[in-house]
Amino acid sequence: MMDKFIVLLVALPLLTAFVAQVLSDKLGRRVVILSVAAGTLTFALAVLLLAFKLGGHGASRIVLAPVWGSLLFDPLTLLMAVVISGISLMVHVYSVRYMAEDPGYRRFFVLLDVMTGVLLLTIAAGDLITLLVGWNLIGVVLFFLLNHNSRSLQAYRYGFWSFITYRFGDVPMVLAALLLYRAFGTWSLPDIFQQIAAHPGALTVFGLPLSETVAGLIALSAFARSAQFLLHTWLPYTMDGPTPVSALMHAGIVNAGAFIINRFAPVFVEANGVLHWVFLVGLVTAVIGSVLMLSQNDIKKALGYSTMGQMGFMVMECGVGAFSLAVFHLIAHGLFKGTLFLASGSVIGKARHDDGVPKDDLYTFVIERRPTAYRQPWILMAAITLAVPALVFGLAHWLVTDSSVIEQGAIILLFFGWVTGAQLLFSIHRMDSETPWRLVTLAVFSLTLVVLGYTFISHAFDLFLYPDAQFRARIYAAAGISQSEFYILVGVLTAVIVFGWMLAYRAASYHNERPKQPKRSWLDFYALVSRELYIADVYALLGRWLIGLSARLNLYLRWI
Amino acid sequence: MAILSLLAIGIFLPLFPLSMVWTAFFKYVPWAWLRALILLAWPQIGLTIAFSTHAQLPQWAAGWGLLTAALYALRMLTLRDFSTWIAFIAASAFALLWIGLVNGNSEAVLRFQGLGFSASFIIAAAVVPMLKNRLGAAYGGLHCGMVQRLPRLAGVLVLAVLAATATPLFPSFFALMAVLSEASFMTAVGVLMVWLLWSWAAVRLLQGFLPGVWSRAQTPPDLSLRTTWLSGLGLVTLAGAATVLSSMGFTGGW
Repeated sequence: MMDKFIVLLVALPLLTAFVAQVLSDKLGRRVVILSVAAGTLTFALAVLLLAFKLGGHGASRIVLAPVWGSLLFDPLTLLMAVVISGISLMVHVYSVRYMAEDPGYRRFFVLLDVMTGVLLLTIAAGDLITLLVGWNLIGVVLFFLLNHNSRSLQAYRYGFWSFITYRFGDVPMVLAALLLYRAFGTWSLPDIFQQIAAHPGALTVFGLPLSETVAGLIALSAFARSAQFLLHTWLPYTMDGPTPVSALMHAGIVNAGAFIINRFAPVFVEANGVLHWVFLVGLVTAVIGSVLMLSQNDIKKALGYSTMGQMGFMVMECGVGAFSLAVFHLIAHGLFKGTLFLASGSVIGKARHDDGVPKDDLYTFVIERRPTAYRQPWILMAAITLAVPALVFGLAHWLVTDSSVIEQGAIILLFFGWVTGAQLLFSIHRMDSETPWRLVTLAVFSLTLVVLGYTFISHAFDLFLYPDAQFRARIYAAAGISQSEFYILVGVLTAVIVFGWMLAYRAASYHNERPKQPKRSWLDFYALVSRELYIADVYALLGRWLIGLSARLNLYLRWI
Repeated sequence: MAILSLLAIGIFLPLFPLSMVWTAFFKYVPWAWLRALILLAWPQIGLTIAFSTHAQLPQWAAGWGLLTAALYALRMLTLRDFSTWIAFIAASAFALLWIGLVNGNSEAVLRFQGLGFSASFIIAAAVVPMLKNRLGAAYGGLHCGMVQRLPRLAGVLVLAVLAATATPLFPSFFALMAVLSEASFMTAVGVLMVWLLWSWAAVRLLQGFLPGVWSRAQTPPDLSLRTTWLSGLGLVTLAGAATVLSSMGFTGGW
């Protein structure tokens, strides 16, 4: 019975948008009361349904019409519903005052409600058509939200970039839906997943392996949504929209890639090799996103590229089979990036009076770049740097799993965690502090706490989203490579990293501090990165060529 | 006789260069109500000729139909005149019906698909005189900043364009899905590229009306509340009918 409320959860924001639009002349600016009240109700309902699910209610599908129009009541839907409705509520409340002087105040809230409803429809979709409807409408509504400031032609231009990339991402999604429909004769997602599990070697009507083809198409669609490399150019330029829209987009909408890969997990477990490509694309995106972020002198673009790097990492997690970890990452990223955007105004306001940076050890080390004159023995520090994070991550993993054999995906993630932990310790070992050991101890303690929290929570997510242990193992297996190749790879990478760290420590201890002139190749690289690898320029060139061709055709054919 | 039938079908289900008959004809029809009628009737006449003459349709016609659709979608990118824009998107959409026609789809299915496309273009045809009466021409780029000065008209224009470019939940979206569900993989990719071009053309067209700063000294009156309600009702009815019918199984293809 309770599961039927999922319909209300999706309908509530959409109905609110409709009523707010219809009554907007009568209610005036008071439509926001309606909008915020409905947002609160939606969030409360989402939490209630999640609690109900945690209480042990099974998954079900609510069918509203015979062909399409069905909603899923399952862990992924409910978890995502709480996140979306929660972030949406925060954005609503924030916008009440932030947008107060905007001439399109009412329109903005109507669009926010439509966006919330469409997002909820997408995550709850129980069939391919409903999913396509929601997936497609997200791009359309986002376009109008980003262009809320209708005076700005620049906002319109960049809104178009996001719209066309989203529409490009819709193409593989539609193709995947058609392939599945033609293979199994149904639009229902649970039925399709059941059929795929029963016929893992099925071919498409065009003779291609079905699971691999569909998984590849879904991954491509996810790449467009989550700004993966080559489909990322829209993300850093979408800052011309109102701040609440940036918050909603970076906290919720852009994370759709991880959601859709999780939704199609039963297809991905049958698709050999696709997850390796997902990993590779995620890795390239994470690296390039981070490099581009570091080279920006515009803080908003830097934030955009930071999101790109995070999305790359999230997709990479999917690529190693850590699907539920990607969902956890999605939520964590959503919360902290949303907070960053929503707090940006007040931070800027306060910084105008006082930068708020304490002139302590950290300040002199990071800002003034004044390392301590006294240095700890570099071999000792390097050993601590490399050993402690490895120990912490190993311990955390051992605590949550009873298996002595660790999945390949988990090892890769531990690997990344280890490098991050080592970086943290490396960056503080030369700080000008009277009590360096206390500082290192505190850092190790913080790292342990973060790692344990991260591991336990992600493990809980694993159990909640994928309660079937066998299925969990199959996801990791689908992302795995042969054991011998894997261990050779890990061995080589470990050796390279350890050697690199040792060199870094040694260089930091003995190297002359005098700055050197950058090399020519380094300057070329900087020029390339500062132009964002010329990718947007290439797209613009292609676009101009197509428009030129269109104009020439029209002239030649006399506009008929 | 067979050639004549084929030529007639090629005019009513526009195949380039016969499609130029359609675009030239549509552009010079003066009244909105007549344009709406023509939009509804044109593909149905083509289908009637095709099914009543039992014409043998060559396989290449499906590919030619797709190329015609792509040609008009590409040409839409640089159109600013809204009337011509509607004529081109209709030519592009109607040409897609060749795919089902050559593949041997049933008459009812194809009529449903044709109706889905036509119905979605009607509101756009109705918006043309609204623009002409207020701005002097339904031409993008002449008067930017409509959102601020004529918000109701801007809203109706946006929804009409969205309906025309196969946005869910309008009938054209389901008609497009029906066309896709019968197409081969490569044809489906082609059809989706046409869809992508429609979307791009829609954004470019709206760019000439919506954003920017209003440049005229005077602002014409916005749509009356009654007209806005009627237009909104028309759009909601279209989307609602398409949603209900398609979810019940009247999809024109699936």
